[in-house]
Amino acid sequence: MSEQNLKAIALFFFFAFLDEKIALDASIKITNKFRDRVSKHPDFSEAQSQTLLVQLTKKYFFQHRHRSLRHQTALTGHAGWQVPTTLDLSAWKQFQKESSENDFLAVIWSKILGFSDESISEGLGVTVGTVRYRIGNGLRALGAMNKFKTLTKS
Amino acid sequence: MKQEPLSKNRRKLSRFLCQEMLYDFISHRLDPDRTEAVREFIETDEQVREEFECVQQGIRYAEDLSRTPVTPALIERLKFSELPSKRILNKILWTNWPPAVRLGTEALVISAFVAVVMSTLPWQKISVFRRDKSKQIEITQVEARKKIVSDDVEVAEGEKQPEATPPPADVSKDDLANTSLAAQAALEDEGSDDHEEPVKPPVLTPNPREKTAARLEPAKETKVAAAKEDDQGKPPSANLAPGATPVPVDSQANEDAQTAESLKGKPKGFVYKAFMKLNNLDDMTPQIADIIRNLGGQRAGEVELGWRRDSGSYYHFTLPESNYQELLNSLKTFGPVQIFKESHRRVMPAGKIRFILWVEDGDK
Repeated sequence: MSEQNLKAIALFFFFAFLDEKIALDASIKITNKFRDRVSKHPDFSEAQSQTLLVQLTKKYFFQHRHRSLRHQTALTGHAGWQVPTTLDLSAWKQFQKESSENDFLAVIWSKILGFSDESISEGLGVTVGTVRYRIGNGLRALGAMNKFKTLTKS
Repeated sequence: MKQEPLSKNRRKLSRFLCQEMLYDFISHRLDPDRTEAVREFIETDEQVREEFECVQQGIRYAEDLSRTPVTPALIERLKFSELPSKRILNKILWTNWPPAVRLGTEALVISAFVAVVMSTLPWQKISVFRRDKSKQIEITQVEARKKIVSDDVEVAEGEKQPEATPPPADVSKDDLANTSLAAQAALEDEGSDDHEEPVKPPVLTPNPREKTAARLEPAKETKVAAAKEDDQGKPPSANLAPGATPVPVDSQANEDAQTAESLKGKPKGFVYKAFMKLNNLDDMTPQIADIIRNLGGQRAGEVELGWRRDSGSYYHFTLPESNYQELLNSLKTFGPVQIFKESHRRVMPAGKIRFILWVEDGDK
């Protein structure tokens, strides 16, 4: 299992839940599942790995979404994710709360993890156009929130 | 989705359509005509321009987030992580056991399974394993009775017992065994029909006391036997074979009474059981019957001499003891003969012996 895949799993759950403990538990479980699936198909390509990760992360996210909504985000910076201090996560937190879940996840997979639109569409079972539509919506909303935060800070 | 180029008489893009194509415009996925149209719209429309800037900012923000580093410790932890349930499963899974433990456990399980199967399977119901008890018993009995006894030699007390005469040399062991086995089975079948006692274990060596006891009868029994003899009629002297002499009975009655007391409770009589196996039994049966009659033999049961059965012929008769050897010699002319002497509670008069001869049909 490549380090790139491990990092992708860790980043997804960190930004999806914004809770280090939940993100760690989720990362361990999905890592084991991903490892089991890949061991049965050793000749997985990069695109197939991305598709599999989309499927596994999506399923887990929707099963445990309520956990992140119950309490406030818990980020200590000591669990393994080193968010730069110059980076403000308030826009992202707002984006997590207010955006649709499909747009939210599409932005994570496409812009944070760098997955291809084709892999995302195959993992979700939708068309590439749908994926791009969701990404565009998400980015527009994220950009608006970030712009607002920036303006309010300044 | 392939985008068709705008026609020359193109309509102006709507704001909504332009907004929807902003991301594709930034990603350079639009064809040149649409790209130009969107660029013009952005330049002219303020709202679309704002949204265009929002999309750009969102992209930049997401790229900053994607550069969040993950510590190597976290990577290692994920790499070597194992779910608790899987950890337990790996320990339980027998393929992960040490080879010695695994092989030992396999051997134990297989042994236990075989033991259970062996103990619960009804072996007696499987014909291959079914033991023919009657045959086994017969074989044992046949082997025990192989000693042929001759009563011609009188044994006094203290002297050695007469040795059992061996079977004739021309008789093969297989013939003897076959004859004896079939005859034993037949005799066991016949016993009840002929009002005979069940076959008792044979006497391996003749006990001179028993032999004399057979002759030495108490007075009552002698009289009863004699009475029976009279009822059956005296053996016709004309049918006696030459050289055969009847043995007087009454002259030994006093001697019989003296030794009868010491033998109370034991079978006092005996019977000779002979077995033969002959072909063409339909012709042989009356011949043998004639020989028996010529030697003074008379039927001792309810069936006639040479009672024909499916598998052989049956003879139950009494014979003067002196003609025993003569009978034996005559029967040997037909084929090998096997004779046993068995103790029996029925006591014959002195000078008379009782015979049960079974001739098996060799053609069947």
